[in-house]
Formats: sequence, C-alpha cells, structure tokens
Amino acid sequence: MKGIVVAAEMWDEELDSTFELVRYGRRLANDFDEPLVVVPTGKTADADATLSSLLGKGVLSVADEFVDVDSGLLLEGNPAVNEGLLSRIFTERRPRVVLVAQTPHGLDIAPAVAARTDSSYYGNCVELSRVGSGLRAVRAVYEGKMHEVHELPADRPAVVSVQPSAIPDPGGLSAEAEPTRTDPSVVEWSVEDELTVRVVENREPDRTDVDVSEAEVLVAGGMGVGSEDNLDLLFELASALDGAVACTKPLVDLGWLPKARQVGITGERVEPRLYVACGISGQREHVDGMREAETIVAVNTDEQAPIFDVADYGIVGDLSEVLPVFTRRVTEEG
Amino acid sequence: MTDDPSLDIFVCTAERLDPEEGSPVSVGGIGYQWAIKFASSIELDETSEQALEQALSLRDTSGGMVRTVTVSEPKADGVPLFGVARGADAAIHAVAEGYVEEKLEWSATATAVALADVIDSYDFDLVLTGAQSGTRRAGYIGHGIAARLALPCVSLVTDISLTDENSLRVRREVTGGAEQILEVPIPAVLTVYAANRNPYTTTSKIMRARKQADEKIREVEVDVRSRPDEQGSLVTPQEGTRRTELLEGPPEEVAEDLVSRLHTDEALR
Repeated sequence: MKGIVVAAEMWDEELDSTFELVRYGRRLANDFDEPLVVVPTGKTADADATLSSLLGKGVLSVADEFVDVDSGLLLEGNPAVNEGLLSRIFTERRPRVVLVAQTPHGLDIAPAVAARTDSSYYGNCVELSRVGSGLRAVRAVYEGKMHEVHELPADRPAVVSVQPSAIPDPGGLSAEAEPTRTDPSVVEWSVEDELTVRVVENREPDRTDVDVSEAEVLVAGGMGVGSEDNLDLLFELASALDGAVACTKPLVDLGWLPKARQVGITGERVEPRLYVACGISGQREHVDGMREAETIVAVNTDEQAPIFDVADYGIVGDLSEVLPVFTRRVTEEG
Repeated sequence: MTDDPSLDIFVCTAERLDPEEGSPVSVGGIGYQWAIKFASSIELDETSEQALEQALSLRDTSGGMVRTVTVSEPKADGVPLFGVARGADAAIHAVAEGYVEEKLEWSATATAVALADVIDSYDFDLVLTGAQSGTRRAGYIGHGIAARLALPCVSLVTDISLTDENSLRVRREVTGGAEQILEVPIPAVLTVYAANRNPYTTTSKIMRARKQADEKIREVEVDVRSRPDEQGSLVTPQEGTRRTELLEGPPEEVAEDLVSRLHTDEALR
C-alpha cells in the first residue's frame, strides 16, 4: 500500500481548489517518497479540452501518474460514475490516501468511496502531515470550534476530504516544470450496465443579473438581515460602493435572493477586494466561499459570532442603524 | 420495498450538539412539565431537520408513512419524541448501551451500520439523512447506510418528488452553485441539504407526542463502538491569523473610522 491519489475535480472548468489539492498531494508524496497519482473527476462537457487545460496548467508536471479516464465518463457529472471510478482506482491501487477537496462534489464522492470500499474516512480536514510512518490528520469539528486529531494507521488506506481554504500553498506547480511521467495510463471502464442513477439535467445558475464571482466589492446578507425589506439597506450600500449584493444559503432557501448570489461551499467562491458581511453568523458553509477576500468587514449584533474570527474589521450593532450611516459616509466620500 | 405507490420513508435524525452546551437533552425519567420544556427546546441538527421536513412533505403529497430513527445514549429520548411531535408516524430510538458509562467514542461507520440494520428490518422505499452534521461535517452516514444496504445514494438533495412507483426525481447541489436533476430508482438513500421551513413545534404537539410515546416510539439496542482508526483526540484550535479589530462608538464615528481604514487598506478606491 503506497502512493497518494488526488481526485482532480473539474466542473466544466478547472477549479482553483483542484490545483491547490494537487500541489498539496505532491508535498505529501514527497514527504513519504511515494508516487502521486492524479485522477480527474467531476463533470466535463468538453472532456478533451478540459483535460488538456488541466495538463497545460502543470498538473502532469508534478504528478507521477495521470489517470486519463475515458472522456465520455464525466460528460454528465453522474455521481454514480464518479463514485464508481474512484472506488475502482482505490481498490486496484490501494494507495495510502485519497485526497478529495471538500466541495459539494467532494462531499459526494469522498464518504461514498470510503463506505463502498470499507476504508477509513476523515472528512473536513484542515491539516495533513507525516508522523513517523503514518499520516496525521486534523479535522475541524463543531463548526471549527474544536479540532479532532487522528493518527492514521500505516496499514489501512484512507479517504480524506480537505477544506480548500485550509490548504497552504506549497508552491511547485508550474507548467514549465519537467513532467516526471509522459505516458499517463488510461482507465477504460464501461458503466452502461451498472448505472442506476440517471442525470436528467444539469442547471447552471442564472448569472445574467449578476456574477458575484467577478465583483470587486460585495455586500452580503445573512439571516441577521431580519426581513426581506431590509435587503434594501444592502443594495443601497452596494450601490454606493459600486459593488454587488451577495448572500448566504438560508436567504436563497427563503427565496429572498436568487441562487446566483449565494456565496459558500454550495454557491460561488469569491475573492473580492472588499467583502461586507451583514448579519452573517459565519457558518463554515458560507465562510469557505469568502475567506479569501482581501478585506472583510463584519456587522453583527452578536459579538461572539464566528464571522468575527475571519473579519478584519467588526462592528457589533444593528444593521438598520449601522448600514445607512456607512452608506451616507461612503456616498459623501464618493 | 413496498408494492403500493405511496412511500414508506425512514428519516435518520440527530440532535444538534455543541461542545459548549453540554450533553444531549433527555426528557425521559423526569417530571412531565420539564419534559415539555426540554422537548420544546430541542434543536435537531440543521440538515437532519431538513431531511425530516422533506420526508413529511413527501408523505403528505404521495401517501405512505414516515418513521424517524435516532441513535443516541439511553436517556436522550428527546429527538424521537420531537420527530413524533413534528408529524412522524413512528420513531425508533436506537439506544447505544454503554455510550456514557464506558465513555465510548462515537463511530460514524458503526452508527451507519446500526441504522442500516434497524432500517433493514422493516419494509421501506426511501431513507433520508441530513447531508452533513454541524458537529463533524463529514457527510458519511447516508453513504454508509447505502453501502450497507447496497442501495444507490445521492447527496446534497434539495427537492424530491415521486415520478412513478419505481423512481424519484431529485434536485441537488453541485459545485459552483450549479444544480443537477437526477432520476433515482427506489429504494434509495438521499442526503438532504435544504427544505422549506415549517412552523416551530408547539407545546401542545409535544404534549400529544408524549402521551403517544409508548405507542409510537420503539426502543432497540445498538452497538456503535468505534474502530481504532476512528478514535481521535479533541483539541482547541490555535487562533487564526486574521484578528478582527472591533470598531466601537457612535455610528457616525464608527462609519468615519471604517471608511478611513478601508482607504488606508486600499479596499476603497
């Protein structure tokens, strides 16, 4: 049992979390002096183009092996196909560990592969390191208030999902680097007879109104906004800042704002210049999508809210009192 | 699987746990008024509650019945009671003997196996779990049950409808804010990530459920001892690198201070 396998997730485009995870896998493989195997997973409408792009970004240059799956397999993003593909590779290779990013896709396949292969599973990890001949995994539990530390046994393969935002940048992924292997293996796998779950439709969020992933300034609302009418306060501030309004998942669930404005694990991952979090408690679902913002301002009535663990500036107060004054001040400056 | 077109649904429910708030709520073996008070204050884990709401909604439109199943320590019978009060037709309290006395470590894999074995002793069409608990964010239980029962599993489900007696149509979240519509054969396991919010459970519903407890809540014993590879140690995380600077004072002064700082940081241009 040896080797590090990385599930290189794509969802019609290359994801930053994929490159981060591949780099992280390279570092672990170096620590153990074992091979790094990269397996594309997810959904690719144009598999050849996406895989070429993935390779062009230097994935092949740091991987010892790239499993070039049949391009048609990932066409629809069928969860059963992805789970079956990774389970098969896991069973055949018996690697030390399979790394999966804790994205919605990762939440789909990581526990599934562990369960179907009767392997160890460590979800929501924020740190991995070599300790002796084994692996030490640190998981964030209780909304990040506590960490759970595990020493993974050296003789038992494991599936580990890693929070993308927790991955340190070890560098070393460069398109200019010499590939260590230029003849990637190909997995040929027929799934026609095995599939029980069928994809009817893939729906992209409607970004015609706004694309929050492109906005340089975001004013985001959470349940602390209190009412749909109070969203006007956010739109007025966003207008003054020449930015856009974003939100947490609960506001989308309530139907107050469209899905395209949702930031978080199951929404958009954003990195704006300024992020103003209004009435947002700071649950992991949301914070993982915005913590890379350059400057974060949080306004919340609860001084103990976890959002104040990630914000640069915090204001403990009522939105209806704070935001109009802030908006007026920005407008006067403008 | 049952033969009629209605759905017999199992929902795996768990209580929201917080290390700062102590152990799970018990409403057994204490005074009646206290039982009402405690059961009224129970919070289900968020996605677990969403799974229950989806199940009740599906039953109300398609017919059939909803059973909840909960693994917990012997005294923590509040969650099964809560499920009945919310509208479940029956509840199963899978009691983990020795959980407290022997200071056992909770095991996701053993819990999934225990739940699967309880569920497998009934006829059923569908198993719903929360997508991931706020406690661990691992999202394992649904997949563990599906593996044990050799059923398909779809995760992060936000909407469920019955298309015919053999299949469901489900909507689910995928990466990048996109959604996927899937056709899933019955029986299956779905992990739920959203649901319409229902009104709070009222005191009268709790009282009614309490009176029906003997009739509707069944206890079984399960073993959820963890494997050695699942046992870890809890530690308090180190503080993050980013420290929030709290701005205090009258709103006008705070706004002026904030704007000044944002200019300095080049966050405002």
